[in-house]
Amino acid sequence: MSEDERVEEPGTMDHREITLADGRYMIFYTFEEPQAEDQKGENKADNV
Amino acid sequence: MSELRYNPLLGEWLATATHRQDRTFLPPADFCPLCPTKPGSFPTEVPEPDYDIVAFENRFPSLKREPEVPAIQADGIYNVEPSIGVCEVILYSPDHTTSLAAEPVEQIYKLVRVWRHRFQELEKHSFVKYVFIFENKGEAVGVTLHHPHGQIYAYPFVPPVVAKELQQSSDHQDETGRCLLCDILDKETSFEKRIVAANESFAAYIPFFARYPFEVHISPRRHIQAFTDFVPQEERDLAAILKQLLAAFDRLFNRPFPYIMSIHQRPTDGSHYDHYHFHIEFYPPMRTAEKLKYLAGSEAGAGMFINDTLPETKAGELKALIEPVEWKKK
Repeated sequence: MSEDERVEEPGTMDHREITLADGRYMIFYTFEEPQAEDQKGENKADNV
Repeated sequence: MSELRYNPLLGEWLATATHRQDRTFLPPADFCPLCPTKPGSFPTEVPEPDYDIVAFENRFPSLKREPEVPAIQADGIYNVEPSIGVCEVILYSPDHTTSLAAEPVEQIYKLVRVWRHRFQELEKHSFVKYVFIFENKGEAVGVTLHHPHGQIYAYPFVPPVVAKELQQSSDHQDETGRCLLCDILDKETSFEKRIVAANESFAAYIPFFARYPFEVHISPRRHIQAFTDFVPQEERDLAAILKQLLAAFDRLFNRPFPYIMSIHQRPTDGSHYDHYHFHIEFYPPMRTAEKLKYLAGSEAGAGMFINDTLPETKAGELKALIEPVEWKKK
């Protein structure tokens, strides 16, 4: 992929788990926007 | 009350889940249980004011991590087991009015990464032998909640459709030394007319043997078995081809296009399935803008589908509606 074609990365993925009142789990996924310097680096591994 | 009952005629398990009769059925948008809980508003199933993508255990599951004892005992050829497993819901967006087709490709890319993580997490359960990720879209396929979402069933066995594909793949490998789906992909690529969209990592096509008029399969060019085999470029390319296909689906009849999306991966029972090949299958029920394809006598009673159309024709119609994907530029 050329410099011009490079697209925005959604950034690293993280998650947070909560327990609902009836005992079920619920997982919130979040995606941090990449820092400017990261955008030229290689893909980061998902932080999960 | 739920339990697994064995069908000795077909050699298949089914689940009874009587509590699902009471599940929420097509509520008004103002009372959607899958929207975030806004301050001062009624409490939904998601107790936070916003989210990006959320996965959680289904409130009305067919399979449970801690299932109850079956209501009836096994008796000879009638086998019964607790309905152990996991049923999850994945919310694609906090926006009630959107759909996967309408979301930007960046959001679909996020979802692909969540699918991978859910597969990784669910396969850790010793009782989970197969992780099935799917989406039912539209009332035509039985959707009861319109909020954009998909589901995951983590089964305690390999379900019959995948089991049959595994057997066919294994037999083909034994007979030819090659992967069955790699051979299908080669056929479709060289024939070309049934290809709907393609990129560096994936091809989308209505296969030679399609049962539904717009039954599209998406297959990776690389011989891989599960999301856990994907490299980052393949995650992006899957998001891109999904965006192209789903948007083209909606353009077909200028309305949200109903479908069942079925993601087929290797089982998670600890065995090796090197002969198997990851792919996604779409079963859209529409055969025209006004007519549905029903599973009637031959399909439901005998298992032989009758497709009223030619895949070569329908692939051309769909391909004409494919548009380039636009990623946000840096």
